[in-house]
Amino acid sequence: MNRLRFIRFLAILFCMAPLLLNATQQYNDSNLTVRIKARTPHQMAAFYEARGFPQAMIKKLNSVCFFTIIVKNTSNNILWHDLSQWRFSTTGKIIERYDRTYWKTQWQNMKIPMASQSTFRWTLMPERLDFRPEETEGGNITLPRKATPYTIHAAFKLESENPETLINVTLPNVRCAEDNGDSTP
Amino acid sequence: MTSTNSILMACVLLLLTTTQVTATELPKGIIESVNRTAPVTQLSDMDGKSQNIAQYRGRWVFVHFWASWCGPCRKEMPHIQKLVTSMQEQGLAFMIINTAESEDTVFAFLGGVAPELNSLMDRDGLVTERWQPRGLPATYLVDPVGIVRYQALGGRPWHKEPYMNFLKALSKSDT
Repeated sequence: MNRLRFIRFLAILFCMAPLLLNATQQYNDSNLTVRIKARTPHQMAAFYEARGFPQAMIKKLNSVCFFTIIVKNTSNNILWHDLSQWRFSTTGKIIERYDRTYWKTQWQNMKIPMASQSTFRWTLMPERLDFRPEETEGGNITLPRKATPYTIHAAFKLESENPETLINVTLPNVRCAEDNGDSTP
Repeated sequence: MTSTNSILMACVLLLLTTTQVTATELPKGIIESVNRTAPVTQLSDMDGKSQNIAQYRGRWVFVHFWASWCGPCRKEMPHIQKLVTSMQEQGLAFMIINTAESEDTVFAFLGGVAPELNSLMDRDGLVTERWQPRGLPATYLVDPVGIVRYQALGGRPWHKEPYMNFLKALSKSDT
């Protein structure tokens, strides 16, 4: 009987593996909350196809790794965010994020309609923002697709009485999501 | 010297009190904007009717940017519909602007959440870019001389009393 229960438990765990691998990671302290969720290529393709994006754009987007980031300022001061201060690495090596300039060049070269370019831009994480108290904003970041887990270092500045408070957030073991729940490139 | 100090102290206290009152009058999530001239904004709605922000000089304007894919927009849009309906007599002008979506998408979305609203169509997203919102949804309040005076952080329950009272008071003021 116990063995049957154990097998059933393993079966449930196996079925839930893709969901667990796509689970949201979260960082909290008294000043901010940072949530990060890996998105599968299917999720992203479905989202952008529903917005009428051209297939060439979808194909290009399927080749990169998407993470949705949500930041909430839970302090009583202004929290400064600057994506250029974030660092992304895997197996100890720095990897470069695909930023707005990169995507703009891609879309212009591919002659993507302005409406699709605009919608895509609005789904990206803002490059810089002064988060007001209780403000929540977010968006996607895009990274080269890797099989190994990423470490994300985010840096914020909290406006306060001298000096400014620097807040460093490290999110380790963040995996790129695959449609089958695996983390292969 | 003592009387000068007393007067100075009184002035400082008065200033602090005034600042505090102004700050508490703003509903939650509404912040004062860095005063800037509202960008040129002329768009057509789904029926082809054009609106130009310049035509509203002399009135406060509620400028709102949204998209169907944005979760908070879905939640906020019914509140905006209630606001538009109840503020029709108040003199506040509305420019509800969809960012870079098709008419079919906008029609289907509004039909489900706010069927009485008509939206202006920023078809290529360039007008939205000019305003440089913090994110979507985004709302700005433009004064009667065309200066952006306030902005809202994210979606707001516009139909609730603090917001309605604030907008009613604004629409009766010149600045």
